[in-house]
Amino acid sequence: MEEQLAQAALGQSGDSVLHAIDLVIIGIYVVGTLALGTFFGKYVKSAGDFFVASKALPFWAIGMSVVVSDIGATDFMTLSGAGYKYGIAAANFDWMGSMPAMAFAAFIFIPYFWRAGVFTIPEFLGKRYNAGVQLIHASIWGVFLLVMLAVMLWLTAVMLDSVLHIEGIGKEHYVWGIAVVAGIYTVSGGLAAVVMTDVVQLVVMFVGGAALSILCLAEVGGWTHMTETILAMPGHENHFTLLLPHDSETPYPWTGIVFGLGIVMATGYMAGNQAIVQRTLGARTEWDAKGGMLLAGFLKVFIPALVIIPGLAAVILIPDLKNGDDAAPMMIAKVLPPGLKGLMFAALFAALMSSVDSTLNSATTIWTSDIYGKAFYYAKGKRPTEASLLVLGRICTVAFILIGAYFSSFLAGKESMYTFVQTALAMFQGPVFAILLLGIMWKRANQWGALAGLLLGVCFTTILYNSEGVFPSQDPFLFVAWWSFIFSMIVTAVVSLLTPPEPEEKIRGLVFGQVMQDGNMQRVLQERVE
Amino acid sequence: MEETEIVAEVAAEAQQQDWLGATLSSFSEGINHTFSGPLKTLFSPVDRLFIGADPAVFKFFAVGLFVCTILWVMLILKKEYVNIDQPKKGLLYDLRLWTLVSMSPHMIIYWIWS
Repeated sequence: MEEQLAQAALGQSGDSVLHAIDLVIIGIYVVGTLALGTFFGKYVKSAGDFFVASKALPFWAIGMSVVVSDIGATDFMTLSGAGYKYGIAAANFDWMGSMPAMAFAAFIFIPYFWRAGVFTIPEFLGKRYNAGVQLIHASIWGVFLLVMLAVMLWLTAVMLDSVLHIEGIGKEHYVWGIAVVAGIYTVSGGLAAVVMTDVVQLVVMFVGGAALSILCLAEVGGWTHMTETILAMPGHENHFTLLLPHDSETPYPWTGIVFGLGIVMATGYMAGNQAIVQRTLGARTEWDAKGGMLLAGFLKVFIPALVIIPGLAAVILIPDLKNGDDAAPMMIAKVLPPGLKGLMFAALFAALMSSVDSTLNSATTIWTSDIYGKAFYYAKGKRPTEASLLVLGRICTVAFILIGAYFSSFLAGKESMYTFVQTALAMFQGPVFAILLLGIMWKRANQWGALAGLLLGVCFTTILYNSEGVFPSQDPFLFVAWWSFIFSMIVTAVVSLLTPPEPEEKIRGLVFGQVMQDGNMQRVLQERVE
Repeated sequence: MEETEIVAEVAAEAQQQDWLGATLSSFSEGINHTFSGPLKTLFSPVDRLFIGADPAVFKFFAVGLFVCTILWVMLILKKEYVNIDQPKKGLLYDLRLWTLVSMSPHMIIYWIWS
């Protein structure tokens, strides 16, 4: 019986798990998203309109967009699976991984990016340090975002194929279908279209996820009965404990969660991820940028309730699952009636589309602004015009979605390539956060310190990642993030002190202490924006 | 052909196809061989400090991180800096209150479940 259920849920039985009403709901969702996204195309007249939505985004749109960009459909599967295997400790990545970090981002980093009037974080690093730091950061993110785009397209296609089972349509067809839908509204409306479709996608995700969680809880007799039953099962004693001991073999030791995740990885992600920060750069005021991040932090409280409860319910209803990641699709098949299945599927689709469009838009911004813009400046000695940047932005969007679609099936068979790029990015996170933090907080930090901190920090991270048995956890990436951050801070500080300081003019308005103490600085910052 | 030879040939072919994986693997082994010993010696005092810590310590650090962040925003940062460009005056538009409201659920969750 369970095997049949698993096959049906995962679409392996050859039959679609969806009914006609589900397909109608999905169809309405896709057409509605396309119409809403292309509507914003008529407001795009310049590069500023395309990349930072004319700096007109309100706080509520920013907050909702940040949350939905951060969640992919695979998170529904993997977080639910982690909840099945480890319990609520899996929620640490949404709870400890969001709120202190989003407050730090809102009140330390975002105001500086926003006031500096930049499109990207590498651009900010270029202004604060030098072109070398900017190019290293931009190149890593540019490549990472492109690979992620291809992977997301492929994962979406796999999910669509497994659920819809339409004869004669394969995964490649779904890849091109998604590429066309997401590509059209991203090319047409830029960041505004991406953010506004994200708002709708968040609502769909919350409604679909809440329906699944509520029905799962009803199926297991409510929260209290579920916790009592699970805690009484052998091997599940820690299923409702968030922080586990330092020597826990799970990926959630408390030291890693508080220091590695809460202080370094989450803050580095919220302040250094182009896809997240780009929304706040498009804010209509600095207050909206900060408020958007705080709203996002508040909304993130609810995410584990949507994605982990199905995994916890599956511990009782399907206790012998071989792969925890099958818990969510099996619970969808088991508890949702026709109509709600369509809504839940639309929610998964929404999560994927929001990740694809955000990644596409951010990749385009980095390649256009940092890589092409910098190369143009060196070749011609001047900045490219607004009109040329807008045209190039649109060309890049089309090119990247085509490249992503073309390479998606290629990457599916080359797991090591994907792992390599993802690991490379993870290795940069601690060092980049260290130079970003010192750059904003300490005026003595200079370009040579930053370059040394970044490069030696990455070397140190590489060594830590590849040295076995150094940390108690089997998957020590949280410890690695913390120690590489500390190492890079020390290197940046020492090298900065041994080399000449930056000229006052260069760092004016880019260091936190100056802004807090100097009233005139506010006017200087305002002039930068104007 | 012997069965072992066939297995070896298939393995070699697979490795050739995934050259990136093989290169990364040998690189990783080299680093592990050279550095894992000294690094274990360096980090073992830290492990000894935290292994066996009472769960109350976990809670103190986790909840403390939230409390410190709230206090930093509400008491240390200047009100004008926090609320620059505030659309209207009043408590509802005060981002210090927003910080308290948005962080409290997280803090309560860690207080209860850690």
